[in-house]
Amino acid sequence: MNIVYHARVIKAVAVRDFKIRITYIPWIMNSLLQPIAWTLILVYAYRSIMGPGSSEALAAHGWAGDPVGFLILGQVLLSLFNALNWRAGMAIQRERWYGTLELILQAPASRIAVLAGSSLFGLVDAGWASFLSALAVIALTGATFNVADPLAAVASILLAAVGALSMGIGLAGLYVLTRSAGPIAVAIQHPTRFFTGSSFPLTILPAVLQYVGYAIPLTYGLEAVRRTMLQGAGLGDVGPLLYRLLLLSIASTMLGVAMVRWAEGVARRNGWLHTF
Amino acid sequence: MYTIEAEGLEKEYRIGLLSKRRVKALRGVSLRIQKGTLYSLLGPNGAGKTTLVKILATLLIPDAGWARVAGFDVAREAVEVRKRVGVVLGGERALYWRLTGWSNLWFFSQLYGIPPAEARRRIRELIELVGLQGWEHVRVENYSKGMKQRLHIARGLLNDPEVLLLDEPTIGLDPAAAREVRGLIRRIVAEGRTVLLTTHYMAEAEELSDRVGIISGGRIIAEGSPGEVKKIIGGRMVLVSLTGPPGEASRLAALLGARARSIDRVTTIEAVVEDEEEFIDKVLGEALRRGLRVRRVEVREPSLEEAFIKLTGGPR
Ligand SMILES: Nc1ncnc2c1ncn2[C@@H]1O[C@H](COP(=O)(O)OP(=O)(O)O)[C@@H](O)[C@H]1O
Ligand SMILES: [Mg+2]
Repeated sequence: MNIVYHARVIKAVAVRDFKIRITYIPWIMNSLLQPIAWTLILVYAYRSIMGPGSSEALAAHGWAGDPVGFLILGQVLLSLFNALNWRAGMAIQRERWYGTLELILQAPASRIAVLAGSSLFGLVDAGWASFLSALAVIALTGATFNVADPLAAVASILLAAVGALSMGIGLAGLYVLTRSAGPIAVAIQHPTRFFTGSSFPLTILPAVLQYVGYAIPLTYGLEAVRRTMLQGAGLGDVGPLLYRLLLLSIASTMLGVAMVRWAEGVARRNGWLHTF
Repeated sequence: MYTIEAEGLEKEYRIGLLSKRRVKALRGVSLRIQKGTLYSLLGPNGAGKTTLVKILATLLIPDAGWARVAGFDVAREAVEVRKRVGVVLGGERALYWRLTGWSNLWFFSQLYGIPPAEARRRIRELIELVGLQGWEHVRVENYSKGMKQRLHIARGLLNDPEVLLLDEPTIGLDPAAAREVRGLIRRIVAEGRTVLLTTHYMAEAEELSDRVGIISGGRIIAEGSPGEVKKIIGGRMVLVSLTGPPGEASRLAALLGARARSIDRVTTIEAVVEDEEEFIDKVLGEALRRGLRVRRVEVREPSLEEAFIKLTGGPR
């Protein structure tokens, strides 16, 4: 009974998000075109500065393989994160904007199920857009991949998505505590682009900054996906990365859930549920 | 048997995160509402009506006191209360404007875990109850204010609640739309539900309720059947404008326990009284004795605001 109830809540939230989403066609276009534009900018930046030598330059930093593939994978996973930042992360804030937060919290439904519904829709919504935009860039610029272990590649992609999702839920916990969730959600996108090494090898950064990068789940996901899809790495090679990714994801999810719960209590005590 | 019971509820809000300013919204509210009846909470803006509704709806935790709704404690058994209560906070927002009325109701029905077949049947019934047939597949952004309010009420009834809490359900509606909503509320009570309604319209409370409580400054200051309450806050408002020796009119007002307002050299004495003739006689007799000249006498129904002043014994 309870499982069925939770499943119904998750489905209803995801379907609601979908129905609202398709009324905003320009946003859908945006989520398709933005990653294409970003990736093309990066590809041409690499080409103009390093010319044919970009492969060797990247290889010198431990990234033997096609630079275009390197950039595409970076951008795909980053846009997946960005979408989840806005979907899972902003799920509660969005109800405030609609004025529905009190009604949602007044229902006996599990808050986690509500958050899961928004996350699920975010994953699907961002997934197809990221995938299509990656295909578009490949068609435009050409890219070569080197997959030796498809299972390892699929596992890496799935876990990278889990990492992005866990960050969304972690951020949801942060956002509910503030009343400036919108600006913070915007502000967080570019540091993430920088610290996860989405557009350049992290190893060129000073060590201190690399530590910041390796505190972010997405960084591990990105590295595992690139190793398995560009360098033919197998599960044995990326196992330690995936293991750490999973641990960080669990931590981020638990932190987010705990903070959302705590914030609800604080808001109910202070009369903040209706404010935005 | 009481379906809603509250004792000594207190709530204080902090204004801003760092500021020391506080607003005491409830100062010890106790309440008992019998099963299957409609209770109106009548009070001016800022009286604490919404705060009380939100505490009973489990959306706010009181600082002191307790409340039980449908047999469960709102603080310790919030989930049980939520299953049995419907809340209508109303307003323009609080619906998904980009979705149809049907989709809005469907979404909330699933939050209450209503099985799909039953939910479909229930939504069809509710759409008929609130008179939105033909509009259920239109986006809410195209609804009038009155239609949105009726959709709010349908939403509040999705889980077939024992208790329905309605916060100012007719505010901002034109007379025709307000009348429709009142008719709807009457039908809801006839179904055997317990309804708590807040309003600042005396006539509305009078028309609908079994009992009326008057709330002002975070306290329930009077309670009874609509007839009793009307008698308490009934009376007549008398205004007498006087000119004459400076300060004399104000002294007269103080003597009679009335309020005095001065504009230029005219002082107006005003009071809400049971017997207006006796009061006017008294004012005229005293005025003559003190050399005051009467410029104008007016008698009318007191507004709710003026009735509160009488009840609370002076301006807050
Ligand atoms: N969330 C809140 N934060 C701070 N002050 C509030 C909040 N809600 C209400 N108040 C204050 O508490 C008092 C009672 O408000 P409310 O319960 O909304 O009254 P009513 O519904 O009768 O108009 C008012 O002075 C109002 O300004
Ligand atoms: Mg109010």
